[in-house]
Amino acid sequence: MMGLEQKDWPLMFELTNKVLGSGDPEYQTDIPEAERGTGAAARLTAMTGFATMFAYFRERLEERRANPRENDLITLLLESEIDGEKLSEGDLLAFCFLLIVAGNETTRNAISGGLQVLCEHPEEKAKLLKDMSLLDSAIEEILRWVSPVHHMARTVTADVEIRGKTLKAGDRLIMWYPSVNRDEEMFVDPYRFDITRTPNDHLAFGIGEHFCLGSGFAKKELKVMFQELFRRFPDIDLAGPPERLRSNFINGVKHLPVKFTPER
Amino acid sequence: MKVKVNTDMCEGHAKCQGAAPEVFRVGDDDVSVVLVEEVSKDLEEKVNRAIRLCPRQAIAWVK
Ligand code: HEM
Ligand code: SF4
Repeated sequence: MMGLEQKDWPLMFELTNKVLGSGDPEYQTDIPEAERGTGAAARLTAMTGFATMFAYFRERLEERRANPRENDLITLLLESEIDGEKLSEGDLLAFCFLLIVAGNETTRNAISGGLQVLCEHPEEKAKLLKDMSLLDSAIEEILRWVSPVHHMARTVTADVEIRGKTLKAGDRLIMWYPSVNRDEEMFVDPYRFDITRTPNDHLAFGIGEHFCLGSGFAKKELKVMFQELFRRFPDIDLAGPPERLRSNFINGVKHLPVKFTPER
Repeated sequence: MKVKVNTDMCEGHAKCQGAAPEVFRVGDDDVSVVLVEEVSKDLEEKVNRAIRLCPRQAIAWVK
């Protein structure tokens, strides 16, 4: 989508892991082994990831400035104007960074988390395999269940009372998506994984001004992925316990051992 | 009652169409269009749900 060369994809994988999975010792590869797993190690890992990513995109911006490309997102960003002004170098880098990070970790953990929860609920998986027209609503339930993003934060701008709790202007608050997506006032039997759940008004993509820019695209990616996966490997199943990401921000599965009959 | 979509706010997430397909359609330009002049009584509940679900709070009843 961003027009990056395929040879750079493993680097993007490594860097998005470092930035969003900075607290997980597995990704703290620049830290001596004995010192991994600490807060300092996490900060350093995130900073290295950030710095390398920004340097990488600075080169991509230079490339496109010298040789603008057709149908290219980065060229489009370079040429766009808001109120007659071009985006600053900082804005351009920040947006490239946001797109690669927000588009990667989230969707890929929705895929791994979705496969995991389907395999853990064989009756729901069988229902889906028998009738793939349930895929759209299964994806909504996967998004609710997995809530790939754990939280976003807000700063309160005016004093307000919500359900007897007073929030003061300037307070910082955390919105926990897995919690809101299991709100028993919003969802009947919230701890049941039900691929036909209706209504399913989950907030896995947030709400309001910053509602996920990529929600439609992410759902399309999930759809294509599960369609192809189950078409080619209908007997895919877990082959061991998943290894989860250590993070309070991303609900990630790092490794998900599976078994399946290969295509002939 | 009449309902309106603020097209400056709308980002085409199509939650409204999901909640009330009889009333909203999101076109290829990713903007939601109101299909009916007047919202009939039996659709009011669905429209209220669309208003609640719209991530951009772009939908409102016209007084
Ligand atoms: C299943 C996949 C995804 C999930 C669960 C997800 C989740 C979220 C959440 C919860 C927010 C809200 C932030 C807030 O309210 O503060 C958000 C924002 C955002 N997402 Fe996603 N996202 C996903 C996929 C994507 C993809 C594929 C892209 C890009 C192509 C993307 C780009 C963005 C951007 C740019 C924002 C910031 C929007 C803004 O601040 O106005 N996301 N996402
Ligand atoms: S739900 Fe809101 S933002 Fe989405 S298409 Fe409808 S009016 Fe537009």
